[in-house]
Amino acid sequence: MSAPTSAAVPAIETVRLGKTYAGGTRALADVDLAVTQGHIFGLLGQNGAGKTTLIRILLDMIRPTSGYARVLGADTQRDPVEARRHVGYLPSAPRFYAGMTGAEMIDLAAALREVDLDRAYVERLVDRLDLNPSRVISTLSRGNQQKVGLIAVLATKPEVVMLDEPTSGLDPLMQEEVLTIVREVAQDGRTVFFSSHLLHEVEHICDRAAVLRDGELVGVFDLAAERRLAVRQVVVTFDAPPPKSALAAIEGARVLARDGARVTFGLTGEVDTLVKALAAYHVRELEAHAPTLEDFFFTLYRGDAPDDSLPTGTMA
Amino acid sequence: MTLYLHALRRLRSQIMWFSIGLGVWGAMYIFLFPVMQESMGQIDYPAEILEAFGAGSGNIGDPRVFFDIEFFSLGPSIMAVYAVIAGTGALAGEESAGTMDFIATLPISRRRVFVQKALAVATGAVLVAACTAGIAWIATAPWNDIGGDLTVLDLVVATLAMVPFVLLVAAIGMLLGAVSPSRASAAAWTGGFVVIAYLVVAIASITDSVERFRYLSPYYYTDLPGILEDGLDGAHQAVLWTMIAAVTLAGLHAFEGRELAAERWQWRALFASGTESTMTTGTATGGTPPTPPRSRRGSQRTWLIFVCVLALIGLVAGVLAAGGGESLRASSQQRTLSASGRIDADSATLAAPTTGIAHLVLAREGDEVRQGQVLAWLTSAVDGSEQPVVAPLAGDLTTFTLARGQSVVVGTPVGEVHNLDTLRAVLEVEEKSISTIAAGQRAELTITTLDRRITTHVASIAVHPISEAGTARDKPKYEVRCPLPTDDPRLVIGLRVEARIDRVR
Repeated sequence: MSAPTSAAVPAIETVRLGKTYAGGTRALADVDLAVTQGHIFGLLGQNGAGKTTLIRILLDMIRPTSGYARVLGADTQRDPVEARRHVGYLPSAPRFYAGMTGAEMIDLAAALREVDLDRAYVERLVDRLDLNPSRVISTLSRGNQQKVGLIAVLATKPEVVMLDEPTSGLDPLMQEEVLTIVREVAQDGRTVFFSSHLLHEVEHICDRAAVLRDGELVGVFDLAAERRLAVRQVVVTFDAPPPKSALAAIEGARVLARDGARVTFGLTGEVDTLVKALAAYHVRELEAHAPTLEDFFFTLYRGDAPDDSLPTGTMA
Repeated sequence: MTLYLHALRRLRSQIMWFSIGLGVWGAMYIFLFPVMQESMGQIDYPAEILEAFGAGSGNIGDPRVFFDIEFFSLGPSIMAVYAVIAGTGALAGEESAGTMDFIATLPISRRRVFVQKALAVATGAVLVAACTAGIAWIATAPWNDIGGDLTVLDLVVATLAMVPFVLLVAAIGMLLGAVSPSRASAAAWTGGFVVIAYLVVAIASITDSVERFRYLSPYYYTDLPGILEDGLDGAHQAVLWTMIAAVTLAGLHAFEGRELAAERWQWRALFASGTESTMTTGTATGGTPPTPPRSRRGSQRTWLIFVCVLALIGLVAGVLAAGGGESLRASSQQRTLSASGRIDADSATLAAPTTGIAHLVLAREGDEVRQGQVLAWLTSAVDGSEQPVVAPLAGDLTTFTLARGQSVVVGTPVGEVHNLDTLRAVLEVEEKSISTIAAGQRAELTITTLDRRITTHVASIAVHPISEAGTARDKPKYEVRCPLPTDDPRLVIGLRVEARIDRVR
């Protein structure tokens, strides 16, 4: 085993990483990423955007045609064994050996990595994900197979967990449970690198998220900061329109639009201030909107710059 | 070693079924041989057919020839099926099944993955050969009285001698698996290669004009065609093991350079000196500029090591096989040569000396006659002269058809004289074996129809090959004569004889 890696070293780092396949297909172009240890990092993009290519380069399954990548400081090409040593990888739609049961597969994963299995942890995961580990994997549903793969990866407690579309095939309840487990991994100080095309799950659990489009890095968003700083929109419908001056004086709120008795506030401060200021008037209805990553995402995928009316992400 | 054990575990059902299948099949021949020996000994197979199956001497009644033809001609091909399955399954199979994701992300190098997988496949090959030998020959040993000089040990050694061939095919499977898009295509190409290699040797051995092409087929160097008769050849084994090493190292190189799960042909992985990667050195912002990957930096050294390892393996294998192969050859070649032929004796045909009428007949069929004895007188229809029918040699008048008053045309056969004092077995021996026997060597004869064994010796070896009308033979045979006792009236001319002649040491 290597010496403990300094927390200052990025869990994952890519520098001008590019991959053009032999046929000339460009899968990745000049991708610069840095994933801080202990973070949950989301990798967003549609199918074919280069998410899986990026992960496979990190695992040295395929080789970049430009740039380089490091995992916990180890170059994926010069020192692939060291780069993989602390990585657990769950491919999208993992496949298993014929005739093996879930429990056997989980044991095998630990045996091949020569890691002692934390049996209690495995049992807890099995319980929480509601998996029958004594069944032969090929007889399990797609979602249950996904659970076997996830437990096999998590059971060895890797420092960096790479999950390629981990919730695909799971029902919504289980998706939530998986996301909770992922959060726990991060609370444990370990890093999760997590690809998805589902915006909401990335938005909810990731500290940061990168968006890939056609192999290019479109943007990296600091979601944690955004959750703190996000400008919310509050739409208030009054019985009778209040005086303009009264509304303009509210701290941390700005009137964005007025339509008779219906006023849209842009909120930078606390909601409490606004609510207390509005207490003097008769409010018939109050709606609050948090801008979503989805707004960015679709803007980015249209190939435009993010709309001005939306809060700007931290562009890389 | 965990991966090695895991890989071996994945192969266990293949190993078991191939062992049982081949073992039972071989054991069947142990029990069938005594039965088949009787019936098959009667049949004269064309020498070319036998040779295509690797039987040099063409005497199928000989256990060495029998097992060469029946087991060791097809056995390697069945073992090759194991090799194709295991070799392509080791890496390409994992990739096509999707489980390579799992193996490739382990914290071990590609080299170690390859080596442990290859070792598992090789272990499987040895296990299949050993279990086959155990079931087919060792377990049947109590009933294993197949006659001749073929021992259980010979059969076991010959079975184990199939292992290098299996290793070569498996190595080819692993190499093709490392460059081809899928396991299916790797298996198809490897299987095709085996079939072609086999056909080249089979066709070259029966068609003299293309005989030299057999050197192109790796199958030739396995010494498997006719292994029980001809043994192993040190130089061949050196070539074979060098091939195994070269293909294995090439496979390792290709696998290290392969893009996993890319599902396309990757010949570049085989020829590239490392990976295709190029680094944008210096343009990287912040961190230390990356150095090129190790495989690229050390490519020259890699090739040097590659060549040295090949040379070493070839040398060691040659020396070992020359020594180890000696045991098999010693048991087969230095002891006896098997051959077959028929009973014959000095004989002469009596022909009518002129066209005319027999007016005086002095002998009867079955008479013993002296050389020069007059057997009949003819009156020539041409000039009216009297002309005698004379016995050209001493012996028994085995046939004599001339009767008084019968008219004959000149040259008509009228009888035969056989000198039964010269009764002998006339055996046909191939050119390549003729130098291993000599006059005076002990010969063990079996007259199959009489179930009689006779111990005699080689009296003479012909100085001219047997001529066959109308065919110019490239592989001539020579007559070898062995005297037979004259006191057994059942020994008659024309009976088929199987023989085993002591070779000259």
